[in-house]
Amino acid sequence: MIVPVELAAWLVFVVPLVGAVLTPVFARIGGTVRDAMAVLVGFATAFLALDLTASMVLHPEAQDYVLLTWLVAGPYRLDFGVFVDPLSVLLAVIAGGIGSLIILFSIGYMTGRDAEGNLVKDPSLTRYYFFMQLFVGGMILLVMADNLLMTFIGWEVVGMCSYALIGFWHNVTAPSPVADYRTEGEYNAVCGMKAFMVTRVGDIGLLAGILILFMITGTFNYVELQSLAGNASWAAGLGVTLSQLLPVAALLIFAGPIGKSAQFPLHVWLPEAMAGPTTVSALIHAAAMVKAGVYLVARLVPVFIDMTVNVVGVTVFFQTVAWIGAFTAFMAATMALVQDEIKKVLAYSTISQLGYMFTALGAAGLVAESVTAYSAGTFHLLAHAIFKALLFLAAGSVLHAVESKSMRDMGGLWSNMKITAATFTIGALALAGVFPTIGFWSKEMIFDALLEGGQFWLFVLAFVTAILTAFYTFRMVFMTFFGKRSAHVEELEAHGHHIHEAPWSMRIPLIVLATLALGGGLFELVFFGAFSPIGESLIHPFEWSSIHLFAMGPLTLLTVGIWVVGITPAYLIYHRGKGDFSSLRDGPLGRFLKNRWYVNTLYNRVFVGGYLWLSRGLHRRVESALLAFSRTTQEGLDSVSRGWRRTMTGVLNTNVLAMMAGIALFLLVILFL
Amino acid sequence: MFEELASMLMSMIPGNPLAFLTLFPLFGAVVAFLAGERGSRAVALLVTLIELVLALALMATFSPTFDPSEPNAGMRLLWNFVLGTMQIDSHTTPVQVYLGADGLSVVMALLSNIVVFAAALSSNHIERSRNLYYMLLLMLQTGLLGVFFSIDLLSFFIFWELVLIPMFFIIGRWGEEGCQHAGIKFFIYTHFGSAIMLIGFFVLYFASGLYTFDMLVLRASGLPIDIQMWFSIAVFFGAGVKLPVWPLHNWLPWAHVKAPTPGSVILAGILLKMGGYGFLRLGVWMVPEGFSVFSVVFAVLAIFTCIYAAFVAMAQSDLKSMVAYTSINHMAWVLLGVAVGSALALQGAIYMMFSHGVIISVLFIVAGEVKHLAGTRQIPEVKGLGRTAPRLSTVFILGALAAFGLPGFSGFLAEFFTLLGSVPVYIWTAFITLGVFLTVGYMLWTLNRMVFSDPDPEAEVHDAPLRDLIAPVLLLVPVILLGLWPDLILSMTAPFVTLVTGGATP
Repeated sequence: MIVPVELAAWLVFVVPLVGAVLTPVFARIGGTVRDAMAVLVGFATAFLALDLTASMVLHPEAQDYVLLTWLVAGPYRLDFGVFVDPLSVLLAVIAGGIGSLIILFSIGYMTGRDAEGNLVKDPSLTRYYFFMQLFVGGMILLVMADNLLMTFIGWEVVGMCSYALIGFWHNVTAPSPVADYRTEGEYNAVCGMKAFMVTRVGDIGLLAGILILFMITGTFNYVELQSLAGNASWAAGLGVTLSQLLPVAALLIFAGPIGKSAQFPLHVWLPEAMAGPTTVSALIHAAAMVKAGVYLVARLVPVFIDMTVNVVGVTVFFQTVAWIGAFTAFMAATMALVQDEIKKVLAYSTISQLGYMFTALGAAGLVAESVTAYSAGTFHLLAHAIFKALLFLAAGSVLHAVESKSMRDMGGLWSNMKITAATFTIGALALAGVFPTIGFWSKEMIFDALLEGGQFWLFVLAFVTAILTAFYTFRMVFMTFFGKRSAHVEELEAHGHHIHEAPWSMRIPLIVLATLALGGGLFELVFFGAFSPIGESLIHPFEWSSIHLFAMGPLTLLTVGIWVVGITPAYLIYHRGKGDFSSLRDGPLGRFLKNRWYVNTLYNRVFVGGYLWLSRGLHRRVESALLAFSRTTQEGLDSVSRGWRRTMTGVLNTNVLAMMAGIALFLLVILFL
Repeated sequence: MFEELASMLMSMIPGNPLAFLTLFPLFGAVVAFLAGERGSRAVALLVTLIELVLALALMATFSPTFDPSEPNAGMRLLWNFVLGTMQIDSHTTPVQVYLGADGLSVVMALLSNIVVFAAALSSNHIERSRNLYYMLLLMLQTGLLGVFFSIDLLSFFIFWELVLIPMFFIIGRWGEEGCQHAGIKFFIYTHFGSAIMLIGFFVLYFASGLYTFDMLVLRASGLPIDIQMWFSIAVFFGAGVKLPVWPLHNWLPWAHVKAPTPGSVILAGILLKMGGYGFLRLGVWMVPEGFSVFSVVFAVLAIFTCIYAAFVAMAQSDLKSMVAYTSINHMAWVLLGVAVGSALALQGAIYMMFSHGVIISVLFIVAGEVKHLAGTRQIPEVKGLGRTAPRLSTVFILGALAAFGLPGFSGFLAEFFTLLGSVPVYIWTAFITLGVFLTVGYMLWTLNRMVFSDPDPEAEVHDAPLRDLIAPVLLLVPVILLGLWPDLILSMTAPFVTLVTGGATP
């Protein structure tokens, strides 16, 4: 609109990437300049993303802008281009907009108090802002890219930033929360590594999938993929092997999102990712990182939907996506029931909500009304980005004040920090899906899609999960802000540390996000209504406008009803303190949930333990056997040469004797042969 | 502007540029020896810097494209110098130094000049008999360039062996405790491989019936397939020891661990590439049909080597030894690319040689610095470098990220091209990605233990002085540049690749 689209589409990720590179330079000038520039870059990115959206609304068309040919290798050429369509712009707005609010929030959050109570900035802020901007830039690169390879590059940049930021506080000398490490810093570094390693498992599948897909189609470009997918003669000319490989490629590609978006069986890294600063968690959970997986699936779903028509077996991709999503949603929700750390609850809720998105996106390929399911999935992506950012930032505000992660150290904070508490509660309502927050509309869309599409069992699983979600969300709200003050809080107060509201730089993002969470349901009208003509034009063969908005049928009533089933028990147990559940908590079920279904332990045994075992085994057995072989050879040759040397006595008699014997032998041979 | 400058530089070179590039360090070696303890370092730095600039100029002015109908298979700037003649039966064979360059040679020459320059820069901790040391270093450079420019089997072999001798002395004389054993081991292993390769050269000489060592003639003559196969096996031993391939790799960790830092840099940075280059020039380029017979065997061996080396690297407690096994792990990609032999896979192999050469040099210099600053290289004993040595840690982290192939660094593209070229040919080559995964694992684990851990209050570690970090920082420039702009190398090697894969020249 203000900036031409083709320029804005580039600048929107170039600006934060350049901002990241320049951060050390600004840091030389001064800490304040560096912080201000980071915020400025964040808002410039947000502005560009919003500007793109505005252009999208005014001139709805999907366009692929190719800038340069990156390389020509053999028969293939790779172009660098950006692809502007509703989906990429939506994700860019999420990453840029929420990212900028998080960076603004960081100004206050990354300032702590030293022993004398003076305000001090974290000493490694240059590194912090560098990676935060790189993170946002990488994420936007990922979503704007017009081909799978560039997306993969952004994907890895995002992964690397998450590694660096989760382990950001690797210097903390406080005792480790887990017994295996000496300090909290070492634990944090290990958490970062775990996140990177686990997602990397998926990345390798993704890379292999991209390569196989390239082998089949000969292109990385989304537009070309889409046009090939709908081409029946192309599919007919594939041959048996290649068309059988296609579902394999699709499933391998899905391995990437499984890792990045923390779905079963690669969900284990996300709870540990809480080791980073809360702002980082907010960025990972709301704006970047985990959304990358959903984005990639959303990007490829239309391609694969078209392929199902012509190629047999692609449906298995949608089955897998939907069922893994639904199962993960349920599993993570059960784990969230027993967590005591506020950030851990939020982490499990992220896994669970991402599961919803995958369920919807997968269902898009299974049901006749794929439009509804698809837009439900993407809309839930937007909704989740808003309310999860809000919840994390509000939680960060609480942690900042209370200086503890455990909800058992909180309680009754309502009176001290009203804005935080109110905004947090709005976020919680959205997460639980209470009318009229944005979460209500998005979940309602998902249920609607599942039920109308006849996916009854997926619906049941999603529905049970929704009840659990409402329960654990309000358990968290009541434990944190209501009820009696914990001993920890009393102690803090007694030491003259007054529980205080966050500074304004932290409050503004909270209020903005809370407003969005509360009124965001309107987006369902405005956002998708405005985008509707695009559906017909290019990449999405969907018609956004055909979504049944505000379907106030029995389903809606049901959706409203279940919150009562979920929230009321939470209120009774955690606010009013009714009932004693300690036996259940400590019983086998409680232990099972606390230990995260033992999946984590199993992985640790099999993969970490197993690999180390194999590695040491190879080192001790095979490698040393090779060494022994070369040593034996050397010793053998050595002893031969020593033995031989003994014949070289240097005594004339022996020499002459040997010579004589030799001549005699020689003569004998000549005479008799 | 840049190209004008380059062509001006090239025109200033007296005589044939390849001959000058190859022989200038030899001349420099004599000067360095005469310059004595004090001046030798300056001479060596100057000579290697001039060499580097000339290699860049050569690359800038060199046009790798050619018409397939040309004789010489795209070899340019030919130069030969006949040392004498051999009279065998009625055939007269010249014993000659015969130089020529195509895109591949130019790229390899640039890599060797970068690595040798970096090695010379990072030799500042060499204290004993410096003039001798720098003389050997410069002789080594002559040998390296000679290998990459030779198009005559005999001169190829002479240079190939010329590399061995200075390296043997550098390991044996300036290395750590136990270095003599390591030096001898290195010498015997590589010499064993070379000997088999030499037999192969002579078999080709006689069995082809051509009585020539000229690679261009041999290549063009269309050798019978069985001779090509036997020759490929001979090349496998010669180049496979250098690369190295499991189970011929045993010399490498020892030689690396015991060698002085610049020695390791040269060993990993460029000596191993002679193996890769040997496969490309003597195998894929000279006897393509015979070499492709072993395609599956070599590819399987490559994948096994990669994963095996990654596992063993994980078990190492010595940082240098860990980096050495990483080297084996990465060079296996080169063998994979060469074995598969499709255009993209070959590009990937060449790319991997270049990128590995610069990345691994960074890591070896870091390992040397760690030993220098902390007194030990044992990974569990060195702690908290992130806080005590932030500058060194930054270089270390960047090197490690590049080594495990993060996009944005050249290593990623190398692996990507190789995979992209290999998977369509043999789908099971995708298993090599397990090696990548393991590399990520042990690299990050090492970083966690050494950099992001809690510093040991009793061990006093200072940060590396800036002058020690010049070389690794300079080496990181091509790593990042090539990560973003692969065409710099690919455009040079594309005609070579199209030639050997039999496609049309782009």
